[in-house]
Formats: sequence, structure tokens, C-alpha cells
Amino acid sequence: MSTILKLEHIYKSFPGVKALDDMQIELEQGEMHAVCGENGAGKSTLMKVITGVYKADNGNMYLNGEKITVKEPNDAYGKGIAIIFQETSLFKDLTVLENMFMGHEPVKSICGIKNLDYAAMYKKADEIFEFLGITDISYDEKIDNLGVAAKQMVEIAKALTYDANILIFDEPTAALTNKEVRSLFETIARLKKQGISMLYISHRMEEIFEIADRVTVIRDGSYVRTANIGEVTEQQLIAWMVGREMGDLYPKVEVELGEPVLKVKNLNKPGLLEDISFEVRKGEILGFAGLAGAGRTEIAECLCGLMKHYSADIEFMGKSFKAKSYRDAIKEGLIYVSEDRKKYGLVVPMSIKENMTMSILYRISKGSFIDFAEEDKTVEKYMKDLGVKAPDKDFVVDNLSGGNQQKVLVAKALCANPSLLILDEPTRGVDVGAKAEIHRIVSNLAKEGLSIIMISSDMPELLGMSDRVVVIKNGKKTGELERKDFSQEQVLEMAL
Amino acid sequence: MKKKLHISNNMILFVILILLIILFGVLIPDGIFFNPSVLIGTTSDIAYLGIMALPMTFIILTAGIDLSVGFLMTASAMVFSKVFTMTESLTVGIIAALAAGMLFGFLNGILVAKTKIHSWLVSLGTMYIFQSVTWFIGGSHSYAPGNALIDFGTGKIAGIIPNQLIILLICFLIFELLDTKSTLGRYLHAIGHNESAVIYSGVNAKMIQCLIFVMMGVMCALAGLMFLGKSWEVNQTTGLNMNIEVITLVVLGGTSVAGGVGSVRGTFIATLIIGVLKKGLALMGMSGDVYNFILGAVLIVALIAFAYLEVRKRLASREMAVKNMNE
Repeated sequence: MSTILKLEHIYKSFPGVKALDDMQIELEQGEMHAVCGENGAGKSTLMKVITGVYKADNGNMYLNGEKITVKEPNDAYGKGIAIIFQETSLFKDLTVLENMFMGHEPVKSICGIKNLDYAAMYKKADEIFEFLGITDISYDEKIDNLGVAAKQMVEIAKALTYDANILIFDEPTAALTNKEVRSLFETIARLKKQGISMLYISHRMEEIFEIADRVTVIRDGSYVRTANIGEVTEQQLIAWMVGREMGDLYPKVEVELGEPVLKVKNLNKPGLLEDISFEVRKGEILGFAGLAGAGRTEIAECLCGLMKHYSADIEFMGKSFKAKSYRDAIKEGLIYVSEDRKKYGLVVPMSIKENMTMSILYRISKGSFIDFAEEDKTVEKYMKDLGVKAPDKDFVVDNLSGGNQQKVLVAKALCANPSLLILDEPTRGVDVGAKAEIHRIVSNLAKEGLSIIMISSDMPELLGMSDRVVVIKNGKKTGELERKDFSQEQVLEMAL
Repeated sequence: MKKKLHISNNMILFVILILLIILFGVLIPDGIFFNPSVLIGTTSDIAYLGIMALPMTFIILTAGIDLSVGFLMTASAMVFSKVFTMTESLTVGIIAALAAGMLFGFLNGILVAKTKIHSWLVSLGTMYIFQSVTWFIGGSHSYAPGNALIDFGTGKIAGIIPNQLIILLICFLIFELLDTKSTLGRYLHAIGHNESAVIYSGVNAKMIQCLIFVMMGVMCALAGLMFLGKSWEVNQTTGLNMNIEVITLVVLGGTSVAGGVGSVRGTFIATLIIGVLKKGLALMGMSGDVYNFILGAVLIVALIAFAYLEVRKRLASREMAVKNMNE
């Protein structure tokens, strides 16, 4: 095989930081090359240099052995390099066809006036759709009416309209369901067979091991190493990414379980939940497994009073309990940490301090006025306890890494002195280093006697951390497994 | 590099204010403008607008708006005039006006909190309702308030500080405290940025939204009384365009209509600026059209400066973010 794209000695600084420091990467003809690194390692910056969004301060780039410079994104397209963005760059009110040729529509002159050449567009689009094996997307459909997976297909088709032979995928599976991931991988296999070379950024280890040929690890803007995928283990990869041995990936501590803290009987919510019953004991981590949309989040929201009009017999801390509002639940010590950090969890333009105390402000105020001394004390304690990495407590949350934002979110929950903590996808969009740290925090909390319900779609995490797992499917409980009986197959069987 | 001068919106406003005062002081003959009673008096003429701009700042902080304030004020003032004419009791009249303002504000608030319609549209509707309420109560007559209200409205403490200004200052201090020190202020900023996250923190965001519209209503009623106390009368066209004038004060004060960002302090300085501008131009014998032109220009200059600061702030925080992540 021959090298198609090669970058060496790439430097890129932003004011005050070295984003890329002597970076290198080599892509071979027809290979699937994964790029991994923690958040902020420089993956996206590297891709932006390749596609001309950023200009490198220094360094060389070779395409088929020839030295090239890419000044702007259009240059990259012209050279056959295209990127499939994490969040699609499509215009949602335009059709599939219009989007595919956006910015480089074929034209023909009629009486000296340039007109869009629809015939040429359809012809080219037919070729590409056949190439990709797409049969279920209509050219005239508006993007808005398509699902995430279909949008991604259009995005790939769009890249191919530039005759791209190098495709870059930036976390393409982040928003896809398992089934959609499978069909994306089929498409990728097809592209590979046609000799297209691909760079693939992903956090998900199992994906990298499934589809990549080689992997390049980068850390803190520097190149670490490149390896054939068959010659490394997941542990090794993670160690290279974080620059140290990780130890145990799921630091679950065995805890002596106490009395039941929460007993839920026959939780019903018309159209969403049906007859769900379960118990959580003191110091226990109860996992909730199931597909996205199975009703796990809804169970949590009912318990916390964030969702209304349901019926259930709930016993919490030994007495009958039904939250009329989330404030009720907080007062009793039942706290929910949302899966959507930026929408429901945090007010990202505000500071760490303001976010952490948002749900307990009423407790640390005298009358209507905030007790700032008390607030500072609380915030400093939890920032230290959880190891939130930030210059100070007034730092804006938006500027923190995903892992640190998640820690702020957990700290916000802990401020409220919970007896039961419901964590919804606690490590989504968090890099491996921070993930392990959050697992350690959760494990310690359980050891200190906190009961935790953990909703997660990350199967290794769920099985690694839980004492017991409840499986939910279409709003019904389909099974319950003890830790000694855990098996991924069995959970999947009950969930699907 | 860290010791860059931090320039805030309020500093820019303050500079504009000082420049305008100096400008008028020099341009107006005999230094009349520097005469303490003139200078202090500048803001008292529009104190009633400033009073309405305080709660309006709260509403705009939550990314809402209230277009009905002008006629809400007029309707409350009309309630006072009618009740006062009937009972001849100042106390009863004032209580009736404040109660009416509270009720009108509650109507706005409950509609905004309970329906999913944006306050922009709700208050557009109630604006027309309040205008016609004014007419229902007062007909085409203008009612003049009693001398007591006028005496107070035009009176001065120690012969120099107008009562109107004192009331504005007291209200400003209360709202400033609420903005910077209270849980309410914290919640208002947070709601403007991300209402969902506030609800998911166990805070009754809808109740807070309703509450600030009630505050708006009460303050409009107070403004109506102050307006009567200096202008003798109200009729159903009095409140016309007043909503825009109040919103102008808030926006000039650096509060973002997108919500979350802004301060009561900024609104107060903006009120002083408008007061100086109006009085200064009037003393120079300029017409209202010249005032409009200059007001527009000042507003645009200030908004450009705010936008520039915002970009600078964002770049700086981006830089810090990257630095923090790479540490």
C-alpha cells in the first residue's frame, strides 16, 4: 500500500497555547485510520488543519508524495479531502439534492444566463447513491424530515460529490442508535472496498477495534504513536491516551448493602410506563439498562416530580412519598442528574459557583438574600472533593472540558445532601481519563452509604459499576439481574 | 498578559454620561448646565420612565419583554384620577392605583407563565386592552389630580433634590440589591440563559416569571402617580410610545434582549444619560427631532461598543478555556 496523505512537523498555536506540537500522521491508500486522544488533545485541531479551516504555523503536508498547502476548506475539497461533521452542516430547509451540491452546483448557460443543471445533478446523485447503496432517501425530501442517520448519509453523499478520496469522520456515531451504527459501518466498509481512505475520530473503543486498520494516539497536541489495531489492547490504548497506567477501569468497591431506601411499586404513566416496581438499598448502585427512549429517564423524572400525572406507591426513607415538584424531592434528598448536561443540567454561560448552588440557593440564603460566605464555603469544599480542574470558582462552565462540566454537575447534586442520587448517562461525551475519575467518585459515594440509580447506555460501564441491573424495554421492566449473574448478552436480550 | 484593563459596559456608559455633561456644560451659555439645581433636576423629568425601566430590566434579563407598560401606566393613573375624584381621598386613590397596577401586571404574568406564548405577543395583546381600559374608565376626559399629588410631584427636598429623583433613587437601590444580592436576581439571570436548567434545579421558574410581571405592574402604577404629579393629567394617548422609551433605557443600559446578560445598574446610568440629553438639548433650544437623532446615535454607538466588548470577552475566555484544558 502507498501513503496517500502525510503530515509532518505540524505546529499550531493559539494565543497562549500550543494546540499542535510537532504533530504527524500518515494515511495509507484505502485504510481506515482511527485517531484517538482525550478531549482537548488536539484531534479536532488536526482535522481542521487538514481541511484548511485552520492554517498551520509550520509543517509540511504531502498528498500522494507531493507537497501541498491547503489555504481554505474549498482547497481541501478541490484536492479530494472532505470531512463529515459531528453535527451536520446541512441546511435543514433545503432538499437532499440541493444540500449535496450546495456551493458547487453544476450550471449550464441558457441564452447567456447561468442556470442550475438539474439533469447533471440527478445523474451524479444517482451514481453516488448507487455507490453508497442508499435506496431509502428521496432527493426531494427536506433535510428537516430526515433522521440523524439519514442526515449523515446525505453528508457522506455530499462529500462524494466533490470526488473525495479521503474522508474524515468526526465522532460520527455519537448520536446514532446501535442499528444505525451498524448501517453506517456497512457504508464505511463499502467505501473502504472502493479504495477510499478514511480518518476516524471516536471515543468509543469498541468501534475503533471493530472497524479501524490502524490507530494513531495523540496527547496534549503531540504525537504519541501509531499502531496496527491487531497489535494493541484497549488498556494499552487508554494508557497512551492519558499518559499513565489507568489501573482498574471500573473501580467498583464492594459495599455492605443496608436497608431499602426507595421502594417503588406499580409505577404507571399512561403511554410511557407500565407497572414498574423496584427497590434500591442503602449503599447500592442500581443500574438501569435499556435502549434510548425505553422510559428510563421518565422513571427518574416521575420520582423527582419533574413529570406529573402518574400513579405509584412509593416509599422513600421509610415513609410514603410523592414529589409534587422537584423542590419537594430535593428537600427529601432525592436528586436527579440529567443526561443532557448543557440543556437540563447546567447554565453554561454562568460560573461554576452559580451552577453548583443553583438547586440549594434557598438553603444558603438569609431571607431572600444569598449568604455569599456560606456559598463560597460550600462550593470550595465540593470543588476540592471532586477535583474540579479550573482556575477558580468564578470560571465560566462553558469553558470547562466535558469531564469537568460533568464533575460540576455531580457536585451540584451532592451540595443538596442526597440520600438517593439518580445519575442519567453520567459519562456521556466525557473522555476516558475523566470517565474513570467519575466512576471512582460514584464508587466512593456508594461506599459512604449513598444509594445510586445509574442509567447508562454504556454496557461495560453499567455492568462494571452496578450491584444490580434492572432492564427496561418499551416502558416495561423486562428483567432484573444480580451482579453475580451479569452478562452482556443477557441484558441485551432483555433490552431488545 | 493577565493584567489587561477590564472594561465593562457600565464603564462605557459612565464615560458617555460624563462626556455629555461636559459637552452641555460648555455649549450652554453661562455654565447654566453646571448649576446644581439644573444638573440634579435633569433626571427628575424622566424619573417615571426610569422607575418602569427597573422591573423591565428584570423581564428582559429573562429574555422576555413587556410592550404594555405605557398603557398599563396610563390605565393605573386613570384609576387613581377616577377614584380620587369620587372619594377625594389621596390614600384611597393611591392604594386603588397600585392595586390596579398589580392586577394588570398579574394578568400579563399569568398569561406568560401559563401559556407558551412569548411575552412579546402576550403584552402586545394586553397593550391594546389596557389602552381601552383607560378609555372605559376615563372616557375622552382628562382627569387632573389633586393639589396634594402635584405638590409632592413637583416638590424638592432642601429646595434642591426633587422628590421624583428621591423616589427613583430608592427604587433603584431596592432593585440593585435584588439584582446582585438576592436569590431572585440569580434566578433571573439563569432563566435568561437556560430556563430548562433552572427548572431542573427545583426552581419554580414560571412563578418567578409571573412575579416580575406583577412587579412591573406595581412599578408602572407608581410611575403613573409620579407622572400625574408633574404633568397634571393623563388621557388615553398618554402612554403612546412609552413602552419603546422604557425598553430603550434598558437596552442602552447594556441588557441583552437575548437574556441572561445585563444589570440594573446599567439601566440606571442609561436613565441618567437620557435625562441629561433631554434637558441639555431643551436648554439649547433644540427641537424633539434633534433629540431623536442624537438619542439614536448615542444608542447605536453604545450598542457597537457593547458588541465589541462582548467579542473581546469571548476571545479572552476562549483563550482561558484552551489554557485550562491543556493544563
